[in-house]
Amino acid sequence: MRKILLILLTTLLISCDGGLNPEIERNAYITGRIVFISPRDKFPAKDSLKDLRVVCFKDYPPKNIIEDVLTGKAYFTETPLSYDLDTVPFQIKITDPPVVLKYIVAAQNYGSLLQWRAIGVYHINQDTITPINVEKGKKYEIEIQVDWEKIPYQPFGF
Amino acid sequence: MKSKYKLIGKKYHINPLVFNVIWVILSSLTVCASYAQPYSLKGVILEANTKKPVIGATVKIKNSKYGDYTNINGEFKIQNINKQKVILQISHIAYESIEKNINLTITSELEIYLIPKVFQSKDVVVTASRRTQNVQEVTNSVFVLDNNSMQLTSNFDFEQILAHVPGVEVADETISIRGSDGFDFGLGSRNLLLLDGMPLISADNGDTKLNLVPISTIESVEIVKGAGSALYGSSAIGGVINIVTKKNYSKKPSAFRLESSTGLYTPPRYEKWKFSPDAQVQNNIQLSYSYTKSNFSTLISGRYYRDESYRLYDDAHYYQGYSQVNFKLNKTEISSILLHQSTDRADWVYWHSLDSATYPPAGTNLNTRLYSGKSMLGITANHFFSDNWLLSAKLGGFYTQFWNNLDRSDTDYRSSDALSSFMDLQITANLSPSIIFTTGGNFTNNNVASISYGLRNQKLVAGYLQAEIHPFDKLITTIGARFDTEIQMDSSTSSMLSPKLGFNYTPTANLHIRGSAGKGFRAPAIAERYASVAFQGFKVVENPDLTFEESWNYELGLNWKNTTIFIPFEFDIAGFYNKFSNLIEPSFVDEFLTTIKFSNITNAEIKGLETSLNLLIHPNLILTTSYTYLDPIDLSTNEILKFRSKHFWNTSINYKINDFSARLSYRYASLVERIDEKLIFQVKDAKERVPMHVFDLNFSYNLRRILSLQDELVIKLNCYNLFDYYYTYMVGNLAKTRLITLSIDYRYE
Repeated sequence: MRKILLILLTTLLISCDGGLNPEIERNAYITGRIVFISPRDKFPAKDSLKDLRVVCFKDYPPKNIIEDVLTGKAYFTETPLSYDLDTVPFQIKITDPPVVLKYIVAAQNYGSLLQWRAIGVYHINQDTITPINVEKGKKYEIEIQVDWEKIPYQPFGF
Repeated sequence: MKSKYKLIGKKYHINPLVFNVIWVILSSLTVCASYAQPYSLKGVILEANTKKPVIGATVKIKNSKYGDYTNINGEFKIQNINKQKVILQISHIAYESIEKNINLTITSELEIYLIPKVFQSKDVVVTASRRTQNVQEVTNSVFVLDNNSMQLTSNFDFEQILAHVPGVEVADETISIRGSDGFDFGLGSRNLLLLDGMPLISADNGDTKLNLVPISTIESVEIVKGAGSALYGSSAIGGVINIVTKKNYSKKPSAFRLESSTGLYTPPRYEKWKFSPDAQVQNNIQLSYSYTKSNFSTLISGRYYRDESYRLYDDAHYYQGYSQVNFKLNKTEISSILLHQSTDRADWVYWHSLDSATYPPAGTNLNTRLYSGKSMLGITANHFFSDNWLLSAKLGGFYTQFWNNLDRSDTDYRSSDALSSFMDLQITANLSPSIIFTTGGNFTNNNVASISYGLRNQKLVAGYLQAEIHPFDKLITTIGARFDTEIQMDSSTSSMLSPKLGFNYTPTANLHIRGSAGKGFRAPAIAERYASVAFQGFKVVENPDLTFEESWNYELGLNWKNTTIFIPFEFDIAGFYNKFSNLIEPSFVDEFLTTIKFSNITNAEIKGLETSLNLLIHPNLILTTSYTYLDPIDLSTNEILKFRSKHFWNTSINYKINDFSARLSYRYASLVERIDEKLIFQVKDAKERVPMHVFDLNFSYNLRRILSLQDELVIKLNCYNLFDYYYTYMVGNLAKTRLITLSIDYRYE
């Protein structure tokens, strides 16, 4: 009986992890890489490669890349990414999980501040976009391929 | 079965005539010598069934300082006793206490048998059927807390004591029995709290008021689970909790008792939660005086409580006075209770965020204080017309008031004065050996004068009837009903018939099978109907159209005791099904999610199973464990009912040897699976919650013997939430963190 009590108590103590914690990681992260599959000679003119970001939209179809980012309906890489590498790593912090990210793209700023377009879409199946159910404290690894000869459909309202 | 004992005389082979002559001479000499030579007494205490020695039993000569404890062989020895005729008291936590008149010889030897108490420390209850009856005859599940077990948990915190009862959750004075209550801002209790049968429910908020009665004056607390409206009317949807007070306070005519405690909240593990460089304290001091003389007894008690709390802006302090007078006149027993409590506290509602769980939301006015007063006068009278006819009358008033220190023009200003007057007249008659009849009438009048609720009145008039029939020796059946009518201020009326059926079958002496079906209801509290109040970002609006909540409760249970095996045990299991309709819940009614209205919006069912097992592992060691499973379904949405856990597990290990007691207890409640999602817009991190795992550790030591005192002096060390486990007891509210309390209990009784 004493052994049973001891086992019971030990189990109970192990099962309690201290409970709520203010320092728990409450963010989530989308990490991964953009892969340019086109040869370099198929890249657009240098003066149109002004900025490169990964943008994750909560809604689909999104209204506008800039507007959705500003209104909190989209997350984006906080610094510009490089066009010079064939594989470009990135990380986006999702600050209010759980959330469903319905549309994730690599976006090119090709002109003025408001001139953005999607150049690659995250999907598992070639024909559909792939949403991600983002949960607190988790990290999601994705890959977005960019084919300059096959720019995806632009669902934006501009 | 009575305890047996026998004197073990030495065997002499002698002629009986000569023996008698010698005996007379020796007896005479003994009487003469009794003033000169002390007596000694030794013996052995054995368990009646197993004949095994009882270790750690207290053996004491009544009204003297002579005594001993039994050793590992169950033996004791008391020497230098200066009286020949004594009363010997034998007590042990796990056995029925006994007293025996002993005529001592110079060296007496005794062999005494004790009967295992097997956990049921109180054999009779008064709540389940509104009459005194054996707890085993009850048709509902009943849990009884006796004073000893309460005092080991806490001298002051009634909420903490109730939290250890299987199937009972309690937080911020809100009680939930088997999932009956969720998160309702503390309004409209679905469980009836009684003090000696008189309700402690406020007239305005309809909420229960705990901690009004000094725990040392409580004889027992009876928790009757399941709908009890057939006898008790409104609010008895989930169950009835009756605090039964002591009527005899002391063996001495005049007695007093001083209880004092100082507790320390240990600093939180996380820097973000530390809101003060100093540790926060909780202090209690209580002084009681009682006078007992034949048919008269009285007690007066005063208490001061101060709690700095484990959260910023959650401190409180109060003064409490309590008095009771009891007397008997021939066949009439009269008892009166007068109590008052004045409280000054901060107005904590919910946290700032999980990162700042011990802080109120930004912008909270930390200078706002909430003041409240609670007073009760209650008189009960029992007149025995004969052994078979009893008339009981109860008359009482429960006055509550609260206000905050804001200006009356402030939108957050709140105040209310409420008086609930109560009258009950009951006749209990043993019509024949097989029929017991209980009938009575009841009147409750709730008057409210409030800035928040307006000038309101609510009356409840009721009549009830119950018959207990014993068709044959092993079966008890009950049938009864109560008819309640609510009369509102505009003379509109609503009525409710609450029937009840039950049985208790005893196939063998230690096996009881019980079953019951009954209806429960609750009239909306005045605050739920007429609240027009703002606090900390929320606005509550009135809904005069609220109607009764109703429930049907079905239960089947079994209780089995076995005291004849190696490890005596008591096992209880009950399956229950509760169906609720028109439950009143707060819900948001505006798009900004700041305005709340109480509405009859929820139909629900709660299926469940409750088991408990008490094991007498060793005469000094008792293991108690209970598990409650709830399946609470919101029938309106077919989802789990909000703010409910599904699994509860309580376990405690009690150890007592001589003057030392210790208890380690553990309480578990599974994760609350669903909350009101809309709360996340008002309360930051509202979704943050985890299962509950709380360990408590209690030590108690009576210093009387080692200090050679005539009186009791008990020191206690209690550690609440031993491992400082952090969880929420409701949305945005961190539960009490670790509190270590040292208390002293001195009794001149």
